[in-house]
Amino acid sequence: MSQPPSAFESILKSLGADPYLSEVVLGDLAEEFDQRVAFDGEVEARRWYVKEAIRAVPHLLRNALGQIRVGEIPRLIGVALYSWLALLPISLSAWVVVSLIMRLGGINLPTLAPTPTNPMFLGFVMLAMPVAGVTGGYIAAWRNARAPLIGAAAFGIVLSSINLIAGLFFPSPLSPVSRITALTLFNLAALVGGVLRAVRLKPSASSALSIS
Amino acid sequence: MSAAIGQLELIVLLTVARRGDDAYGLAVRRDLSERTGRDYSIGAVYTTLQRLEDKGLLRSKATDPLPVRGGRSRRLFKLTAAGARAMREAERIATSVWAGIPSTIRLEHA
Repeated sequence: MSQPPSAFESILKSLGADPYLSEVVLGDLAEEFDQRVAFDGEVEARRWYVKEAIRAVPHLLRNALGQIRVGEIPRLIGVALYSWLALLPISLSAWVVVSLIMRLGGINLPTLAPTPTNPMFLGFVMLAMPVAGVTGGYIAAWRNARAPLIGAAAFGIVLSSINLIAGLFFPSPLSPVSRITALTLFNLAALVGGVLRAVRLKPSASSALSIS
Repeated sequence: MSAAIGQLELIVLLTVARRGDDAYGLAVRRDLSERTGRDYSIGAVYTTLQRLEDKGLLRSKATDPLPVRGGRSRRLFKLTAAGARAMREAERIATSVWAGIPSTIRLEHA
């Protein structure tokens, strides 16, 4: 028997909508998928499933955001800050390893003077921000198990906000356009990290059994 | 006094009433799409069903888990007394506002 695309099931569940809503939506998608496999074939049924899963996202997301109470916001900020702290030793270790490899290989480290006109610095930022975003988004999604994608989004939003607020007091070495581009990449990468975590979770139907 | 309902809510309410004991999301969505000619997403249908339930116009219960749904239950919806009142009220208003509309623009002349 054909199974619906499990990655999309996981992503829909990871949005953190009311389990009542996400389980019935996933149940309907699975039931119609099964019927479509019989009538239209698996490829067409999978195409239909992906399209319908994407169409369901805004509704589940709206429901998920409606579930967030004011009291939960400090917890989400905590998840974001935890992920950031967890990112620091990872970044430091990566930097040490790369530096060692380059030194052992006899490669000179490029100058990374933080000025808006230094293309090496700009390139480094545009590479580092997505990497940090994916890693931090993954950690935040892991920490916020009930709604992994909301955790990943919170990581991106909280750290971007801190960056923007810090920019009011300390001059940024990046031009405004580069800074906005870097933060956008960072937020998108955080969501990618959240999705990567979400697809690792098995979409179980256990919560459907608890619906009264 | 019945709760105010929008057009999609009314259409969904009518669909649930028409389907009787077989009113769950997938069946309601198919019925809706056939009758209106529009392709409603599953999310839109359930959001509306949930809103109607929150307003007390529908009630629902879960069936036993079904293998065809990946071990998930169906959620069966039923009209409440308040839902029936809201339908009657909507019909009364529609009949009232259509009264006096020239026959040249009524559907049977289109």
